Amino acid sequence: MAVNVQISSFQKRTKISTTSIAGTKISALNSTLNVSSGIISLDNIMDGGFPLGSLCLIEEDLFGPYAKIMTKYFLAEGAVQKNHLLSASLNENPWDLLNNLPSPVTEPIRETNALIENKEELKIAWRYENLTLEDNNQRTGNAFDLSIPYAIPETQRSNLAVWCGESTRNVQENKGTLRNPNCLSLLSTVKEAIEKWDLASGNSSNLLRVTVSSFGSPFWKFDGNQESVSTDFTATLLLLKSMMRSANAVAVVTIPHQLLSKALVGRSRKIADVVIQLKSLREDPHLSDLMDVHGILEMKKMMNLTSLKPILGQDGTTTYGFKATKRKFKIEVAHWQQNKLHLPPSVEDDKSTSENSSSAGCSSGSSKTNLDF
Amino acid sequence: MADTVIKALMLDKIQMDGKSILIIQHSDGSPFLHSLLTQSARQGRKIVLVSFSHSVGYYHNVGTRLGWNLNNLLSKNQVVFIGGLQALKDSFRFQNSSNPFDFLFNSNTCPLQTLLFSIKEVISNWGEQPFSLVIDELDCLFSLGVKTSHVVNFFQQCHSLVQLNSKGSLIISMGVTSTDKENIQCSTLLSHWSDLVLTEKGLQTGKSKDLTGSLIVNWNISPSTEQQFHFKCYDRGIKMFAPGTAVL
Repeated sequence: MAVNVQISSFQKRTKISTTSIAGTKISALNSTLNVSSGIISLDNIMDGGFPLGSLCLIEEDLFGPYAKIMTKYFLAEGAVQKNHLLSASLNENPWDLLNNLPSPVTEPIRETNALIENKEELKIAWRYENLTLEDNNQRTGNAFDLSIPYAIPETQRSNLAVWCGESTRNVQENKGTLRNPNCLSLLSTVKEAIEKWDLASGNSSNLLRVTVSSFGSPFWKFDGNQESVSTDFTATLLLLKSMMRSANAVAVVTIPHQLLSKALVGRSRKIADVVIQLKSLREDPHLSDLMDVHGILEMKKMMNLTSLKPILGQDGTTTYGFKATKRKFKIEVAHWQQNKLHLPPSVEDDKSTSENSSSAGCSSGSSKTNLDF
Repeated sequence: MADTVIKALMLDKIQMDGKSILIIQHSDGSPFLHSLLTQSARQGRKIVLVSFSHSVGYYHNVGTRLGWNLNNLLSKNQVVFIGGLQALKDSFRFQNSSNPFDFLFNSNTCPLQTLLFSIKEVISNWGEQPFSLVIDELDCLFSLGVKTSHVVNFFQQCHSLVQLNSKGSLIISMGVTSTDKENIQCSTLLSHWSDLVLTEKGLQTGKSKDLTGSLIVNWNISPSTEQQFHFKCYDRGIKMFAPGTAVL
């Protein structure tokens, strides 16, 4: 009679299955889950994208067209990954944004055979003779084409939600310090969306992408004048951040920072986790020397949610030039030299012109080579 | 590596009981607050951690890199966490008057009263044991709509709490930006009442590979000195340098 006797206490460790969430990548730097922003070159700068649970602020360029393009890419990536989308806007009808998302472009498969030319017999490492060299630098991501609107399939329509400023009847007259009815209504919509799709329980394998367009524009009726800073604005951002943190969600809020007081923008930067500033060429006459780019993208802040080490500015670069065409949104590192902005020469193959060029300029003044006399 | 901050500030030799430390931050992240938290945890002091814009998970994550486990201490009641993003979210959902952020939704003549009472309750339960009251990013209260006078009153109450109970120390951090007058006024006022003021700034000339920023240390008790350090933040701690020696 066979008796199953356990001789040793050794137990094989089975891999703990973690539910992987669609559209996220684990960051190598600090093991947070990063959500792709839809723009491949931006993901490369941010090590995978926006951290899951963060509040991202995009400071719009003048009149906001490029910020709108960035939100479209963000939502389009969500549509492709079948994430839940919530679009909030008072400037325009949010359904317009959702119905006109760029559609993904499948790139032609590139041949990878040109990487090893050495066909000789390997004498010492003969076991590796038949293996092919893998290109570890190839990042997977979606490219989008802005000219073709993406038709979201009917089955995914239930993943979409909008908020367009209708005052819900459930929101009572608020007596506390947060009074703005638009803000309260937006926050309740976000809360309901999270509850409806059950994203706060930790078991969900999907995430919610929230975009708020032009938060702080006059449509929102913040009654702060230039003297007093509007506290409803910052309180709403903080509450939105608290909702994102406790659910599988990411929020991208674009603010027209030229219309708001500097103190308010400063406070919003303190609250948000990621801050990106866009500046189009029209705004700054000095930059019109540049023929190649459409504007400047500055990563003002990227908060590290797991350690003290700063993510940005490791090599002194936080200023990038961006070029937005119908088929590509390309971001390149910019050289600063004597007040003039230089960019690396544009080459046909756009994959190789991203961040590999060094950018030691006069702003990072402690490089040893500068002291060579 | 977290010890380098403590040694540089000589806080391992100077007793901070009954005293208060103010950290003024011009840049983001709060490396010095975390170092001071690490020191309090290592010394076995009880900690009341009050936060307005971060979650418990954040302090735990940074703490594990620096060498202490927040969740462990929370379960042992060595650390009490008040506020945080969870409380903010709950204040919106439940509108419970014992939530410190309830003043956002229900009218309250003294918005920080609930918060102060919860802190006092925790401290009075501890009796005579040494503790640290750590408040992170006090300027978030301005973002939430609390007036400067209430914030200053709150600070005075906390300060008196710590002075009465001679085994407690107060650590407050405030973020300021150069364009925000209210914040600057408040931080200047508080810096007159604190015993040690740490001002943390990024570099004036931009970002650098070798440094994260500069720190100015002002002691308001004897010996009243002012020192300047440069520091660099690493994953596991902070390294402090005398100005100019970072490249060596």
